[in-house]
Amino acid sequence: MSEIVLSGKGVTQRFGGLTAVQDVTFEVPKGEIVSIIGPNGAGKSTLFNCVTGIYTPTEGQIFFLGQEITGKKVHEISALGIGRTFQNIRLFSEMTALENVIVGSHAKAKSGIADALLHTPRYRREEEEAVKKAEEILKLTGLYEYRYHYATALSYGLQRRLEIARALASDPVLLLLDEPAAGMNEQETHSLTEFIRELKGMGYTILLIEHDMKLIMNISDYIYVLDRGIPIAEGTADEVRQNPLVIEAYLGKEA
Amino acid sequence: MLLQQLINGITLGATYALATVGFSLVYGVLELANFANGAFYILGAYFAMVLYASMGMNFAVSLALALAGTGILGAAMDAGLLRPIRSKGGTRTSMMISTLGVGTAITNLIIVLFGSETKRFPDAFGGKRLEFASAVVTYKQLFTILLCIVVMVVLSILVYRTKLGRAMRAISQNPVAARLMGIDTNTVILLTFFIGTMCAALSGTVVSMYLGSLDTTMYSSVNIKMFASAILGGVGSLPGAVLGGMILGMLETFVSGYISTAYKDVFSFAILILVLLFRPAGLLGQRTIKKV
Repeated sequence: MSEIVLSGKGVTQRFGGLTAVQDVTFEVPKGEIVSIIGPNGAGKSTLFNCVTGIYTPTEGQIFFLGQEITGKKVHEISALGIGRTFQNIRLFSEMTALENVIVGSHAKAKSGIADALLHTPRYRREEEEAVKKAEEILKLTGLYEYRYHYATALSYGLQRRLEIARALASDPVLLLLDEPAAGMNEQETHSLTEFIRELKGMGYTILLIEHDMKLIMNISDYIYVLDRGIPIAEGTADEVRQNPLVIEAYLGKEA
Repeated sequence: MLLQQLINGITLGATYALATVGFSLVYGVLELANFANGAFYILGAYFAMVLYASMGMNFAVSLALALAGTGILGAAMDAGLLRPIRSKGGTRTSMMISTLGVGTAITNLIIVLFGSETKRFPDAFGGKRLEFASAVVTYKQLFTILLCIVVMVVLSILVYRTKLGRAMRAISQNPVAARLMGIDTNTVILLTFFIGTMCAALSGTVVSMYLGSLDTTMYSSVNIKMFASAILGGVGSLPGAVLGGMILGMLETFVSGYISTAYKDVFSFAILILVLLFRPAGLLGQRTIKKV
């Protein structure tokens, strides 16, 4: 069995009287694409927010590379090697595509204020490296020709790509993609599917939330299904597709 | 006369610009109107006055100690008061009212410790001056203007060329994404308060030396001037803060010189109202449309 990158044990998140995520246990093995699906309001994004530290789960534990990360600060978790994108795009709107990606590598930069003011060799080298690396990532993600465009000037599909590119800049081990295909047309979704496959080929481990069933069934190695915060099924694409509980959650009970 | 007014106007404008830059830095990162900034402006001046005039320390050392001390207090206000409000999900209004409270507390503490009478701030350059073409430039004026230029250059490099500056801009544009990019937002905000408060203290000290005196009534007047300059230039914009401060300083000097000192605020605020009517985002501010 391969190494487990991310795992959750009995993760529960309550907001007052509402239980958004209840007793969810999951594992994400290295180099695989694991997906979380479920109808709207199933608690998928809440689970992501627990993993990235935006919420501290009410109960349960989350482990990343064998280390418990429950309750750690957002920037600390990010620095450990988890990159994420958002359901609603959150780019730095007044920065260029290139700058957005450079910010992504923030946690890795070592030089301080004094270095920058004095323009020390260390600062220059680090800036050059950050720019070079950002350019490479932009080439890899097919955004190189747009590097000097402001984030807001890019098309919707490209903004989504830029979010992934920015997440890659932090050298993550694990990528959390929150509905990357949301609002994309079929052509864009197709190229995104290819792109996610390429990311897997490069060795990234991916945890994906998505509504687009075709995309999910095409690329997922393993799928967890949530319904109203409760895990109702898990398995490979074929197993999940045939699970009566899943069909019921999506289509309603048979009369 | 004209040249002399110009020189005086630039000097006053430079000090407004300095204080406003401190205000705008914090506003840029937190969208918070920090009204304690005016109190830190006075506090910095008192610090410097006590060290330099009362204890007889070297002026440069006094200034450096005053800046560092005030900067630390500004950062302490963030860590001890504003951060807890933020982490408990408090509103910007709560934070703003808290800064007003801190401002009032500091000013009154100064009155308790030093009394409310006006204090003298001696000229560190011994009244030396340059004379040319019927105008006079004192060394302390030159010092004020040069210092303002140096601080602006350093801050521009800081904000647009450093990792800290990039983090500051990232936080102002999208705080949640910034944290997820590995940016320690609380530390960046703390440093922003430290730097912003030092700008205010620097401005307060050079103004006091320029005018030769200081007292706590400067608190409310500088807060209003700082706020007006920031709005005039575009709140949160650094070039805007400099432009706003300069315009306000020039206007006050020229109105005082050619019309009457009594009318200087009338003109300043009339201009402010006009700018707000026709360019609500300020002269260099960006028009932003928030999506609903």
